[in-house]
Amino acid sequence: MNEARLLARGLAVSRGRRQLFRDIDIELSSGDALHVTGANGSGKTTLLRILCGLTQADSGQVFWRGENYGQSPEPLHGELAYLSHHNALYGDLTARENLALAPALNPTPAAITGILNRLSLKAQADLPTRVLSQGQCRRIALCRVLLQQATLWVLDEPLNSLDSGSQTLLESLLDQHLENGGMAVLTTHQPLSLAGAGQILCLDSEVAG
Amino acid sequence: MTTLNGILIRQLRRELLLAYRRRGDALTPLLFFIIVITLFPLGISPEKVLLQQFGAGALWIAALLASMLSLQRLFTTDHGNGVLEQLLVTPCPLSFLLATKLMAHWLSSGLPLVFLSPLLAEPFGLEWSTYPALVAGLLLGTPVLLIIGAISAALTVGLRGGGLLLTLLTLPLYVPVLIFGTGAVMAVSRGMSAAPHLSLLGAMCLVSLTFGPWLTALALKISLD
Repeated sequence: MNEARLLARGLAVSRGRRQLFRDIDIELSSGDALHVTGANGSGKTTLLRILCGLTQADSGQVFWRGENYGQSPEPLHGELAYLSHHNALYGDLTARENLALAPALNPTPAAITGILNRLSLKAQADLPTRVLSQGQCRRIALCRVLLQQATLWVLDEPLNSLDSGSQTLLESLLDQHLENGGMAVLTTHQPLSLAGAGQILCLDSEVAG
Repeated sequence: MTTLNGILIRQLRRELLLAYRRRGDALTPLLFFIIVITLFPLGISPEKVLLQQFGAGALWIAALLASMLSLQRLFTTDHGNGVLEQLLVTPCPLSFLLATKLMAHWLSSGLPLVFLSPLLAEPFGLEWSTYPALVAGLLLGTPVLLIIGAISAALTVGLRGGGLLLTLLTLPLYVPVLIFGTGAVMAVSRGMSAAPHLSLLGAMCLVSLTFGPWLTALALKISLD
């Protein structure tokens, strides 16, 4: 199998008459993180959705392990954990049930308990998620990302509604993921302090340039 | 680690657990089914001869309307909370995941309706001999209704006012199922065999089971792009 590597060449997207971004090149190898920044509406989410194969760019190509996956992203999906703006939780199910029955995961009950404790959700584990706060739900969604044991993490505003303690925890989890040879693409409005030097892609400058 | 079977089993368990937690949601179409049926004798005529004549049609029309009730909810919740996006990035063909979802939906809403229908046929004075044709017709027809509805629901997910559009898209497509479903019961009550009608319904059922999930997946991908 080819070395794990995410490549994007010359991505361009316009919505209506407005060009969101063009000539975006991305190159991520094992252990790399890419922090996408930009104003609201600058196309951060669109870029992340393109990298996940959920939508297609007007022009440009995306490669995973050397294969162009623009048309058929299935090879990537086995190694991808995607966190969107939505937490993908059912309010009628408990945190534990949401994690145990998410189709893409196959965790042991012990692994679920362990991860819930790690993100300090022990007391909330058996409550229906509709009674939990936004931040707690976000943390459960992060538990899902962790349990997926994927090579590539694509996180859209993972820090949304998280308190400062959880933010530090997420940073250390990201560091650990990258140390183990993982990759991450994420957007945030907050500054992120990672151990390694991550790449930064600012979408505003691309439009200006 | 995550085999195809494992993925589908977890999806099925999640959908069934959700249906159990939202029992009220599954009950509403059933109550609606009962109420619509009771409207026919009240609105048209309580005479036994007449009731016997339009009984099968009334039951089928009520079943049609009841199965439309829950269609809008089929994908809107999952769209709003981001589950659909997660299904799209699950390493498994979307059509398989949707087929599982539709199966759970049919088990929790279609099947109870099928079982309830003989009870409701009794007040219409339908003969006992027609019950097998009625139940068999509904057993074959309700999956078709659900799958036709699912394709339309997938096309209208995320649209404003999608609910009304969904009804307009779906109802005309339900007509063949209605014709052969009532036809089966009428045939038996006239002393003929229900087999031709049921065979056609069976054919529709097989075609929709084969192509339905795939078309639904296609429609969802278009809607969510």
